[in-house]
Amino acid sequence: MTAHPVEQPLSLLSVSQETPFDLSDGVTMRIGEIAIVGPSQKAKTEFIKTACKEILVDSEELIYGSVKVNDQLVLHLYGLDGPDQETNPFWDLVSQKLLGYVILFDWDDPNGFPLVRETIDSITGRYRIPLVVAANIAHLPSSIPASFINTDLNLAEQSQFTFCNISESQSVNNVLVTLIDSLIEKLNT
Amino acid sequence: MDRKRLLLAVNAPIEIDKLRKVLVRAGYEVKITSDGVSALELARDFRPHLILSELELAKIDGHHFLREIKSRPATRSTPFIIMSRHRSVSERVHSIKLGADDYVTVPFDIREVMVRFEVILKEVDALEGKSQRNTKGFSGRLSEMNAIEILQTLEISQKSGALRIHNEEEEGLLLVKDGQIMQATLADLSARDALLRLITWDEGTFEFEIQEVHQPCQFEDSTESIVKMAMLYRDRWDGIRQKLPPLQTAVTLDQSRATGQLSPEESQVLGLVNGNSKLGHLINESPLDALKALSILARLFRKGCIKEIPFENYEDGDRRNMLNGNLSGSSNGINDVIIKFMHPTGLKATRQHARLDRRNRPDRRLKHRRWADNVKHENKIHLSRSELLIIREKLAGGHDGSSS
Repeated sequence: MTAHPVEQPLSLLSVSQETPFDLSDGVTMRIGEIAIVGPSQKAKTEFIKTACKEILVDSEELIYGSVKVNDQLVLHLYGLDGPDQETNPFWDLVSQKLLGYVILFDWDDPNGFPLVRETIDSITGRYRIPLVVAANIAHLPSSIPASFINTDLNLAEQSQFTFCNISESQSVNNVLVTLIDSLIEKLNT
Repeated sequence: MDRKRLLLAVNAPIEIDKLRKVLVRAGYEVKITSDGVSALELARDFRPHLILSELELAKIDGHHFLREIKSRPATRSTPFIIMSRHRSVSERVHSIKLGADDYVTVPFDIREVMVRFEVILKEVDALEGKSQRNTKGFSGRLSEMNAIEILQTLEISQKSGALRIHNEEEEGLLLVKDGQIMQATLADLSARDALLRLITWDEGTFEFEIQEVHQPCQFEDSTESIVKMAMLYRDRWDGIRQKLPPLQTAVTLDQSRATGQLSPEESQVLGLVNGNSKLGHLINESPLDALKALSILARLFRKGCIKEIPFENYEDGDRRNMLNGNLSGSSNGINDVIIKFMHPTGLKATRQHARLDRRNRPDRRLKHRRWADNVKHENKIHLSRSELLIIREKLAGGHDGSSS
């Protein structure tokens, strides 16, 4: 008999009585987890919705979606406020589990920019973890030169900057691909 | 008698629903989570008598959860049972080495698990009965009860024991006998200075363990007098601290202002400022009394001899020049965006500003800066290269919309 993979369910789902108590001894699904952090809840929600097609949790604390890559592999995307100093020790643990961070902000929102920089500082000052800084230009021309912002944000070695259109699937996927490429490169070195 | 509290951290709560029901029927109070982070929070707030955790949890795995539980004074004695789908002996050994009290392989028999719970809880009860005298006490957070309030409580109740106070960097110890403060220890400070520093801590945790205290008294005054003195000290400390940025703020010397007439003490403190010094560290490094050092720093700050190293500097000339140079020929729309970045306006009306404002609160920045000082954590990549390549291919090759 073929063993069916047991997918890790969403952490915040309430206990259901419909699923039987039979714990399969099948293959555990492999999960890659990526945190999408940034000042705009709306942008994070749209990013995850575009990547996953469906938002499974959309609360103030957490936005969650999941991309099924194949039967044994799934990518979980968590939209969070970013390292929160009030949950300091937890973030250390959470970050150990993550593949990386996407720091997302609206390019046309000047108020979010200092917070973005603070988030970048928090993460790069604390973790050696791949990081992609993505500026959402969903409602702006795409001909913005990226070079200056890379310098302005003073991005650390493990960080990359990219523009993206959070309403376009391929653009969102490109952000994730950038992060995955960083990981592959890290494994190669 | 209180119901025993059980915390079940499992990645598939729906799968242990039956176990939950049986446990509730048996009289246990049960909380379930499938997320390692909330499991840690529950372990702190729910204070379970026993924890059953699966290895494969969301956000943090069971081993990290276990390590955290066993590293915290408040939870280290809580029995911890690991549950896993892995049957390997090495996995079991690893879990036990980390401090797990038992190991359950799934699928499991509910009756067997129930019996294990009962046996472990009975063992704990028996152990607690034997060592009750040594384990009595209380614990909490300084934000809820500061050191002065704890000492007052101990004085009124005439308790004896060890009060340990922790913040993120240090641990202090106060020994109390029949409500009287006997000794205070913090780093290499004298008893008086250690006590005065400990009462200024706003953040951190404390544990008071009732025990016999035989150490000699380091203080001449009664606890009542010491507490009064401490309260005055604390008032003055708070008053001066309001004039300064958070103590974890990095400051630097302003050479143009630092050459004026300074008192010997001011010069002494100023001499400690070395490029990128933190206010809190300057106080620690100063041979002066902490309150005195704090007061001098406030004066130096007011005179402009030292200045905060800013997080953001929108008026930075080099940056502006660089931006302008790079943007020559770009559209007005983009220039507008840049101008907005350079001169943020209307911040107060926005939610973001409310969040930015939080940065100015002592706690947030204090911790933020402390983070930046810590050693970097190297991240382990949990997927293999081939798995990453498969994900990449999936993402780069288009999306078919499948989601779970």
